[in-house]
Amino acid sequence: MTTAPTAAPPERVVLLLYRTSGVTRANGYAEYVSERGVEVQAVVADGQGWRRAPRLHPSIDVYSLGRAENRLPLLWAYVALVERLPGGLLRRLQGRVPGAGSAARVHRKVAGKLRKHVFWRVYRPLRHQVLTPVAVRRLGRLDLAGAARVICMDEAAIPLGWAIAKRYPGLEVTRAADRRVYEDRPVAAPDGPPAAGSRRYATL
Amino acid sequence: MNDEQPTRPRVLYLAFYFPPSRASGVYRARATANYFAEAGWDVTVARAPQWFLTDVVGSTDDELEATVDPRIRTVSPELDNFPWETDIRAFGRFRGNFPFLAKRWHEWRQRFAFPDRYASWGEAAAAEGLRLHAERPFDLVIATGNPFAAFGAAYELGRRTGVPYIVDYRDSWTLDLFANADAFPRGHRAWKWERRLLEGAAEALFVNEALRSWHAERYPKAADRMHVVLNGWDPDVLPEVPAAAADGDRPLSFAYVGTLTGAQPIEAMVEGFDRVNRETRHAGSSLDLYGHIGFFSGSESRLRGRLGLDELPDGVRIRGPVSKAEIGRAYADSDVLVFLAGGSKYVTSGKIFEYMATGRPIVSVHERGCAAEELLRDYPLWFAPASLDPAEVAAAMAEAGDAARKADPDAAAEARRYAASFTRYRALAPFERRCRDLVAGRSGQ
Repeated sequence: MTTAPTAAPPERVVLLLYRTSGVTRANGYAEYVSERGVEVQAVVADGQGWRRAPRLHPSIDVYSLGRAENRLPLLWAYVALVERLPGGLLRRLQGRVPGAGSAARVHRKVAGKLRKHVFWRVYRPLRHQVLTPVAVRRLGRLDLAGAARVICMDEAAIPLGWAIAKRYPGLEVTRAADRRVYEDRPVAAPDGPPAAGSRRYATL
Repeated sequence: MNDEQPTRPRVLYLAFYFPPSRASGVYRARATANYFAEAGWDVTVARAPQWFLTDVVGSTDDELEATVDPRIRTVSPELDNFPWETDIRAFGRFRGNFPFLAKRWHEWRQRFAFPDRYASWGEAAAAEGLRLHAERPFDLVIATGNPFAAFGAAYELGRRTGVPYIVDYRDSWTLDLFANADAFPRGHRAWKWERRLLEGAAEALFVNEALRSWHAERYPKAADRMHVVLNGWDPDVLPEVPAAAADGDRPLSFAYVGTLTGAQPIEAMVEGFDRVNRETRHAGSSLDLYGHIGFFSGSESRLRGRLGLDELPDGVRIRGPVSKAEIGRAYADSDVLVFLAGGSKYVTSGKIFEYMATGRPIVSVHERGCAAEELLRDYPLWFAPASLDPAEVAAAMAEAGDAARKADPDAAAEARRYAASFTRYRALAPFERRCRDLVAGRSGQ
């Protein structure tokens, strides 16, 4: 009895994306390599500061750290106590208690300023350090041992890249989104990117 | 040119981009080193480390390296690879865990170094120069920029050893050639450094008069030591291109030979050619683009999209880089050469000398007032559009095409005669004589 040969799984690249500034570069790279038959996955820290981020290319399978980030105890407490709780309360009081509407507007303004000038000033330098162990604990889902390479698309993703490099000695972990690696491959999907909605979005 | 002379003057040439580099300025450095070696100098060249050329720039030209005079000794001072390192494992524990702190630490250290990205190479070159000078003293140091860290190294060597140094501005440092404006804000350390090293230099060289004047005006104390050493073409690299034959029917071949960059008016060239191809008597022509896309191979695919090279009209073909051995064939296969240049009155572009040496019609595609016009004005087969409007470019291309079809042997011969006065060695001869006098003057003291 002969068994039919099974096709080798397509080559896979994992992108690490912590900041929105890396999205454009990630999209360009993903479009280029996915056209050449390479699967692209991305670990995306899209919990905080990603509301106005550009959309990721449909060829990228997203593994989001958003929920894990938003559940970090201190972060959750800040958002709950400074933004959601008072905001929700004032919204419910609108129309019932005089002055509640203007109080809600003042709260929104103050909470926005606090986020910009206090929250981000404290959290930004710590974010990549805080998120790295969170991401490392969840890496099992990605089967990194079978990936061709891991690319840190922004500087904040380097500590996660470093942790991955330590855990997977044979895996290439790099800052370079080098298209030359695939330039000799024929374009396998010349009809454009996959339709919106076909992308996989999972939480890590 | 006897290399057995017992007292050969000794020169240290600081040229980061030197063969096997394929950077656009490498021909000037190669010719300078070869000319000095042939003229009896003992030449040592400090160049970029090999890993930078292969891993960062991404390409080398080994055939060009073979044309370097074997008497020339080369050394490769090290370069701190912090900005270029991409392998996360090579980052080390500190940078791997604290990338922002590591970056800040690196930037803080740069504040005390020469204001150039390649400062670490300059420091290593100065240290290597001092070591070699201790073995056997140098008589002269010549530095070519960019990178301008080479100038800093020359200054340091001059300060520490008393050896005169010469700076060769292959490119400009504090003048943005493409914007015609200062490249650094007021108060930037680059200004202080440039003044310091120009006032201490035995000579400063520039590739055209416009650049020399700009610097002379800024640094009047050093103005009398500023000279122009034009670029030129290299007869040993460019074989004689056979004269074109008159042919009224054959489709014409337009060609651009050189690196394509974002600073060039590529759109005007492509649109102009498209009109020639569709609307004029030269329908069916082709436009061949020979050369690299961008200076760093890693940037090629991004540049292709940005420059619109992925969707070119009929007849436009990207032929890729050509080796030294093939460059003559590329010119021989072309009927009209397109001189595509970005920038301003300060830009000459070394390629124009090679173009003129072929004796082919040349059509300019650049802003009017470019420094190369000074040279092209007396070239009998030059065609320049009044502006970069595609219709004007197309008209100039069509006229050049007419000249190519006519293939007037007298005009071609006159063009070649004119170009013969622009070989690299002709440009370097007076400079080498001045260097010899300078060294002789010092030893006679």
